[in-house]
Amino acid sequence: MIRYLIKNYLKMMGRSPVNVLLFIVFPIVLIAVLSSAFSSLMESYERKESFSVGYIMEDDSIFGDYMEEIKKIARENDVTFKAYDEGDPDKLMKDEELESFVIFGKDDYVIYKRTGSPTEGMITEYILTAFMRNMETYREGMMRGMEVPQVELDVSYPDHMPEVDSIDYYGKIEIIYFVWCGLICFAGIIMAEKRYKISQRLLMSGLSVTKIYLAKLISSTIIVSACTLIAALATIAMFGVKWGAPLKSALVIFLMIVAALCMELMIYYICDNMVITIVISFAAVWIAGFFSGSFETYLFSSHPESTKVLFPIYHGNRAIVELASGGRSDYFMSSVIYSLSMIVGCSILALIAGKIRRRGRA
Amino acid sequence: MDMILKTNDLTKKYGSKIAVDNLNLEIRKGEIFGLLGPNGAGKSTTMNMICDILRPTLGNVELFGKDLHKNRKEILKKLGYIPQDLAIHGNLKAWENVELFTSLYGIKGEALKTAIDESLEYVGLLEKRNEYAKNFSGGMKRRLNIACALGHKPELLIFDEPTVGIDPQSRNFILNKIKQSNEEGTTIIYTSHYMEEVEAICTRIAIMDDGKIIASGTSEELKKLVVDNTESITLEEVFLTLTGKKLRDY
Repeated sequence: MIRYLIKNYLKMMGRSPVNVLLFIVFPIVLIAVLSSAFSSLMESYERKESFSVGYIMEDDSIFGDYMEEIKKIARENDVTFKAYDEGDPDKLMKDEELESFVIFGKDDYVIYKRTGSPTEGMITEYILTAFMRNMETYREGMMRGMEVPQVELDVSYPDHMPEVDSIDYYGKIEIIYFVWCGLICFAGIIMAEKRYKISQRLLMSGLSVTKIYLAKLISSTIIVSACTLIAALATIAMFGVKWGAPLKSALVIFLMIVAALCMELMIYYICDNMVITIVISFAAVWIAGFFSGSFETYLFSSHPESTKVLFPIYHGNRAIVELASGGRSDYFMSSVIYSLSMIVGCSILALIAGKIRRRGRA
Repeated sequence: MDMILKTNDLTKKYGSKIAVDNLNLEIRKGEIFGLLGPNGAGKSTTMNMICDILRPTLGNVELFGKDLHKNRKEILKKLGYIPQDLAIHGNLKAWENVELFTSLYGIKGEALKTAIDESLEYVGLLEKRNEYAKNFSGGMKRRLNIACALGHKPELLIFDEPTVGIDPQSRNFILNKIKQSNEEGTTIIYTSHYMEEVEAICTRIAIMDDGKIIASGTSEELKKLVVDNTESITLEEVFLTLTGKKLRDY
């Protein structure tokens, strides 16, 4: 009957102020500190509502035929393309208040970005790149005699650049980071169980290793989820953090909570020492957070992408930030799969370790 | 009398160290069986193997006529173990502790509520049911420790030094309750370092040293192993004579 075991674990965890402090207060303090520290850096990611882009089209440029279409799509996204016959791009951007400048050559183009307006430069690049990619499809369709719909682009939230400020970013990222420290809410109970031989009492009741593991996992998941929800609501109330796609975001965070607890329980079941478990877990989470944008935002991070994708926190961070800023994320599915794999893999290893240990003892 | 417990060549080795050496023990229904021994004699290891907390290296344990390993779940439901450590949660109230450990045996609903109240009443803690265990005195914690093993009404109760570090009133209360449980039909295994306790309540006593039973019988029979006039010797003197006076630093 693990129902009563879960119920009493919940009571014990709920009566510990450490949980409240760690999962609600600490993330909020970190959000305030980090968002303040990085606010000026991330302000550059806020785009102007509308802006102008200058361009020079060389006579023999293959892009001439598409210019009207480009202008039309840009206008739909509050970007105005202004034609110039000649001139120095840097001088023109300064004199004419242009946010970026494009010189269309014969079969290529060069984009000049104005200092201080990297976002607008990236949007210009995005419009042209995405348009050209769509045009190839358009032309191929035309050549095959197919009816191809008109090219449409939405640059409100271009894939490469979620529109977030520092509060929105750290408001989510720090909550995710603390989710990965979930075992701390259970550490005291596990230590007491071992110290006072309560775990022996549980085992001699005939309860299996699997049931005891499930009771621990379910109860700690409920507590960490509840504390995380309160912390997330607090970020909305206190900082106005914008969480997007609530169901998908909740799924990503919930699975990360379970995955983190499974990983930490697995470490405990293997080494049978809570202090070692906490040291290993927190070191692993810190390293993962370092590469995944928990401290320095991943938007500016210089770590190679191939390293970052190794860490589940990175997938979760990107999924949550991009779901909030763009309503979709390519990292949503990878985060879900990563977490599910961890839940299954870590649980199997924990149970094997627990059963081996029990066989050794009992 | 029916045989409740039988160990057959029970052995536990830790590397080259033999903690329990070919132990053959028989306990009959209705007995209060006292197990004495110096530190490191193998008492706790034996108790742990009887409770399925430890697996023997060799030999087996038969409880209620069945092999413990093969009928683990069925047998453990009839077993109550009161460990030397206070195996209770300080952050739970008295009734919650009893609920937690009683529910593990499949007792639920009204039956669980009744079992909680009966267990707490039995150890004199019913009025303190809503107080946190961490606020209890040593004697109250010991009694709560016992209550947690009573809820499922075990047929065999194993007490591992249940009176360590408590006042004489609490000790007297616990010993009386052990005798009462026995009178109500529960078989008891009792380990302690307090000889007078063992002599007062146990119907049969075994002295264990170096993993083996070196003597067993009633208090009188044990005394006769050392002197003819049993009134001139205490059980402690018998114990020291049989196990020696050398300090056991384990």
